Amino acid sequence: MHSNDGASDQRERIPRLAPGWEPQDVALTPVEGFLLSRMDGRTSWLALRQIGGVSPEQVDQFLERWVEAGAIEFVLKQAASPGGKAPAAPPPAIDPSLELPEELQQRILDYEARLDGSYHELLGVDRGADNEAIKRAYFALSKQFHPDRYFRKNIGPFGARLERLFKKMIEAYELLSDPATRSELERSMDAVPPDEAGTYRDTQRRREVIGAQEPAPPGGYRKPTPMENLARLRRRFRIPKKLVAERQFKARQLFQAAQVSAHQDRWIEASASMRLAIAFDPWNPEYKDGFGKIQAQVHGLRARALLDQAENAGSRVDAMRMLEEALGYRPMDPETNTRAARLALELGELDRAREYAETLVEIEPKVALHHVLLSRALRRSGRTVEAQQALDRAASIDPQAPEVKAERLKSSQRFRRR
Amino acid sequence: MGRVIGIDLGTTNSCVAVVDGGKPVVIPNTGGYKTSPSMFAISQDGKRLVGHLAKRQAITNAKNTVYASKRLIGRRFESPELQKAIELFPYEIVEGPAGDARIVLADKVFSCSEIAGIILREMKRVAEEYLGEPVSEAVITVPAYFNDTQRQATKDAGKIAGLEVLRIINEPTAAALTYGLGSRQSEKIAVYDLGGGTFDISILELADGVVEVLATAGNTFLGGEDFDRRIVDYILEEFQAREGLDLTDDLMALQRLKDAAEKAKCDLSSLQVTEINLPFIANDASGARHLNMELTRETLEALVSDIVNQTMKSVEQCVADSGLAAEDIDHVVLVGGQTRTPMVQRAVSGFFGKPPNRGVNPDEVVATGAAIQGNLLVSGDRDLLLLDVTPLSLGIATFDGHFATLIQRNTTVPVRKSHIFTTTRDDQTAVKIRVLQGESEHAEENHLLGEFVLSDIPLAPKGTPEIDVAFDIDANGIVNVSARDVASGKEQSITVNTTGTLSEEEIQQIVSDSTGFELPGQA
Repeated sequence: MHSNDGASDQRERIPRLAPGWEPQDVALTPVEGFLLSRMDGRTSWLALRQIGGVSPEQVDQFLERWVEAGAIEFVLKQAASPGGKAPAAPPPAIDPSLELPEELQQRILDYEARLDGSYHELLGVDRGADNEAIKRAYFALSKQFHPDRYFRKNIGPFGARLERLFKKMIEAYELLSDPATRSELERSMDAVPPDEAGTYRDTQRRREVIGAQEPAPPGGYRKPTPMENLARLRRRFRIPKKLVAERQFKARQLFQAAQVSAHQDRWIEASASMRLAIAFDPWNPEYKDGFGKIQAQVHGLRARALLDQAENAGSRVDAMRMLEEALGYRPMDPETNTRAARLALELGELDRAREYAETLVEIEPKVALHHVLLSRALRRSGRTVEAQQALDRAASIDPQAPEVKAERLKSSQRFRRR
Repeated sequence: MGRVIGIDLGTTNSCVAVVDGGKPVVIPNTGGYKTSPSMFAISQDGKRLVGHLAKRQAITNAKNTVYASKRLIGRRFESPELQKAIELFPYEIVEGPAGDARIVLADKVFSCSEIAGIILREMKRVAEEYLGEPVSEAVITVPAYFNDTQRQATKDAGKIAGLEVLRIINEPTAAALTYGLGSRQSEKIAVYDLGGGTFDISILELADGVVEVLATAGNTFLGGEDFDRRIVDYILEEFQAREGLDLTDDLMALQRLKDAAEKAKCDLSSLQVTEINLPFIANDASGARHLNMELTRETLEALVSDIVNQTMKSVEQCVADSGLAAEDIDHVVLVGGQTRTPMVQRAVSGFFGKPPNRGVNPDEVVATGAAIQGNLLVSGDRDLLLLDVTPLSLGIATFDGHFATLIQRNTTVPVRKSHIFTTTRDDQTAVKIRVLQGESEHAEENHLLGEFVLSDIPLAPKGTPEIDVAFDIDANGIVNVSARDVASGKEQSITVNTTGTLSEEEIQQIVSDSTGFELPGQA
């Protein structure tokens, strides 16, 4: 459904940010920001469609747009493996000089092309196939592809290929022959688009985290914690542990991504990652705690942005709305409250002006200006006695402040006019 | 290219087979025996003796005759198994430079691989004599519970014997291969192996010519020798009761008693009663004493019934592990001479509700299977395939002393598994990866295969670095462990299987030392 053969070549490739293009220069949605943060120069387009959080359609849509805009470019193949661990395979080709029938070489290459498919496809069994059928399929494939079949034969690059094939086959067999993991896999096939279901492109990605464990010199044995006992019970009763672990692993990855983003002050990305981490592993208190801290930062950022926008707003009414929104994020921020109070006075919204001024007095009672603002709001509402009291408080804090002097002048003029 | 021989390197007896003309043949030695005692001795006049020759003089030369050295191979000197062996064996065992066990014979120190190598060389010689051509390649069997160090030490023994060891395979798997020849439909097989020194039970499945191990269990210190020891203890007690003489400290008498006990045990497999007759067993003030008594099958069964019951407990556990019920088992294969005992056969057939297979001699099943696997590898036979498994779980030690399993036991090889680990301290720059093998949840109770350190991890808060630890076992059973810091891409790895108890130089040294010591042919 998503596979569009023209684009599939491109999707094998690894996108990264084009040099000189600053993501800060454009407005991105959190989802886009999240996707952007996943592009580490090592993850292929295909893998990006796999990571979850962003649907494959959205990934395609965003990436295609960014390619067009020149925001991203593709990494050359060789640079894709920093450790030099998996050098680009030579183009698969049938080699008649090998001690391996050409027909068999073709079969191996064909099978290798299926490695990206679902586990069911890998073993060539239907959904709902029983253990016996799965085992039969696995045995039949073993007889074709087990490396022992070609012991000491000159089979060139097909040797490594067979080992890889076989390891993958074992993985499929292990997962499918366990009723618990099989039903979980089949359930997941119902939950996601068909070409994503039951598919894990890379064993590497199916890692699980065994908690914060340091492989270090042996410590003494300690009594297992209740959590560890629970983990052990889970293992024993074969709750679909592979999937639980997979989700926890994903959550961990996202959590760590969030920490990195946060560290680099990319709070919105951090927040998106953390939110996803919680979705994958809702019971981890660490994530919730982390989310709270990140949210505080995100709110701060939003509020700041709104203050800037209010400065340049087209109308004072718009500006007022923005300031109010900013106060939603940071209700106790003195600067925001001060600006809101002034603007409310300008707009003649005296009740609100008084509210903001009262908040200000409450947060910072030692600032003369705050009392002046309150006095002004009260005076204009006709509550002159209270206004005078507020002004007296301001004067007692700082009689020489220009705002205090000006307000005193205004107040005496009014008396004179009467 | 020469043919590949299959060798069952047993605790008490060894056996060699080869596939000849498409059929497996067990090769008799020059004396006509199809098995040879796994014994090596240096006689009083300095001659090296192996097999039947060594056994024949073992009584008078107990201190310089090695038997059951398979119990020692690849084990650490301070391990409880080894300390137990030191108590039991009349020959001297000392600690080697690598913390392994070494055996002192006539003032010369031998490694266990060297002793095994001498026995393997003898089996090689037997095969060459029979085939009339040189032999250079072998498949050797080991118990399913052997860990990687023990397997590697066995491989080293092959090297010392001048053999290239194509594969080390598990004894029960080999036994199943023997019966798997020509089988087409799906069958479940139980292999009950009660040998001289060890007991193993395995459940295997054979389908479409593929052999898969479903479960294994066993006891490394339980076997025919325990039967013998029970008989010896019984005779000692009886003798003391009748004659008032304690023979417990008389080494010579003990060796004679042991031989007599073994013979009586074998006799009682077909007879109801046998006579034990040992003239001049001891001397005291009143002159020479003779031991003469009768032993009935009933008495023997009473003496060993708890041992047999113990094996049946393992059988129950193993069947349960395999996810099958006793009645699901299609064939029961008996391996090891001790399974000739009627009581054992009764217990096994009673449990499975069917009589055991009788096609192949229980002493020869394993070697035959090894020969078949060797032939499968080099001939490119496409009808049968052995899916070998890892015998024990593999993993690493975690900071709290726990064992984190990466590869479960009985996982088919080749295989690759990886896990992410992380740090436990802020700004931790190095982690130590200790590679262990075993089934205990506590790291220190498992067998250490090797260790290495991954360093230069970039500074980060604890729990942040991702350390990808991967275990990779190739089709030859060679374990490679790597650790990679995901962020920096820095990687460290070790190949575990290269660490036996002998270094490559030591092996070469032994090989060159032993030329010129060519063993005499069997009389």
